[in-house]
Amino acid sequence: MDKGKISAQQFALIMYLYIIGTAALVQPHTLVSIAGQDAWFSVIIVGIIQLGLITLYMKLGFRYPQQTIIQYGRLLTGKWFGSAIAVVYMFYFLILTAYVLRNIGNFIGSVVLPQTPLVVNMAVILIPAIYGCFLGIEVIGRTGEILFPWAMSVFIITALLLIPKMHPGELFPMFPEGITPSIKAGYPLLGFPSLEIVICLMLIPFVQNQQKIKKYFYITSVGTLISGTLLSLITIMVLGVDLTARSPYAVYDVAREIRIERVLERAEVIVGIIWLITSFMKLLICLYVTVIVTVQCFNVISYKNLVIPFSFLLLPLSLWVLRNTAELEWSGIVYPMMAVFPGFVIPAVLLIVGNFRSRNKQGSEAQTQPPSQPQSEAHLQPQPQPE
Amino acid sequence: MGPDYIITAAIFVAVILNFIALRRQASKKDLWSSTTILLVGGFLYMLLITDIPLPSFVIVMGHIFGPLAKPVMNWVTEGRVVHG
Repeated sequence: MDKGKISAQQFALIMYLYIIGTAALVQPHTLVSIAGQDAWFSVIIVGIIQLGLITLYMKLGFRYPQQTIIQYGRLLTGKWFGSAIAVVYMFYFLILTAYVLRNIGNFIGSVVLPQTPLVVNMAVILIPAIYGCFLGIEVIGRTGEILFPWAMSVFIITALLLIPKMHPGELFPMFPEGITPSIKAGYPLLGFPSLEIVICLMLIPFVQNQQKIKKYFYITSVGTLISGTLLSLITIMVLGVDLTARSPYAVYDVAREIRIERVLERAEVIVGIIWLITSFMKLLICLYVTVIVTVQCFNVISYKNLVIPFSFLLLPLSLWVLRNTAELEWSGIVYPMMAVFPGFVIPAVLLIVGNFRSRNKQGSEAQTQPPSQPQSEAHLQPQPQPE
Repeated sequence: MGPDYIITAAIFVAVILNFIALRRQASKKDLWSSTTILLVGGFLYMLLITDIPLPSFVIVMGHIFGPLAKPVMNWVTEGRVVHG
């Protein structure tokens, strides 16, 4: 296992880049095509659900702060069930990484380098991700720290430059059919990226000052909520409902509208850098976690031995997850259903089992008052919470 | 077509190099895990480039969650504002 450690701030930054990730690129198109001008409200609804999910993950993660979900899954449910949970997470993160890689490949292929084969686009972005993963969590944390200010500054400058192009009238009439379309539009968003935050349960053991995680993680979540809402609002106000719904990468197309006399034109590629940064960080974290889950699943000694083999699996897997863009819409429906098991059901069940077992243990201890704690059950005791 | 040959060749080279590199340095578990991952990747890639009618992951998941996914799809898309 990787012995590296990151700080709570680094954890929060990489989680921000992870949550925004590729979702911000494809989010406005999906949301607006369902909810129209009320798409921004879907982001708020999902953001509130996301805060609830984070509370669940924090409660579970802090019961066993030095272990990953794979490790305490085995402790709580036994060897066989624990191994089944490990396999579910391994496949889930593998598929997620392949999805992210495919999204990046599609994005580069359709807007930046349309003549380049998809495999080449994906391989080019995968190579630095492999290197980052090979170097470990500390390097990933520092990469997030370096890239975050760049991404944010470009985002803020873009938003400011777009102010003259914004038409607030595009947001009206608000809620012409009630809030039902907004709730419907929130459904694809739940699977991609809200339920994916379960990845934090694999990263918490790598954080040094864990008592600060909760605060920073909630700030991150609120930050992603604000960024997502702003992105939806800006996209709708600049492009309008119809164009946003028809553009697969509306956030990128918005940047085409930046025109300051003849001094600054065609700034979209510079803006595309933000989305490449966030998508790259998401790919990097997903790849790292996939490798760590596999290491813990099969008790492999060195995670570095699996990094390069995984890259050769991810390339064909990303071609296989979606054979064509027509399947993209169907994946928006199917993917949240798949993600609900590793993203909500398993953590919730583990939390209930953990509470139940510790309560049983406390009850039996109160009744029998044993002289010393049995060695075999010592591991079931939740570790002291940092707060 | 060109990248397909390059990637297929790279996978084969990777399998051999991985075996040579890890045979003495790493444990057997590491060796077999990494070789299995490489071989699965290589096999999947060859299935894809030979155009074998392999259902994609989304289609497979669609079959698994089919009874649930279709009503959800209808619910989400009914009254859709724009058909993009």
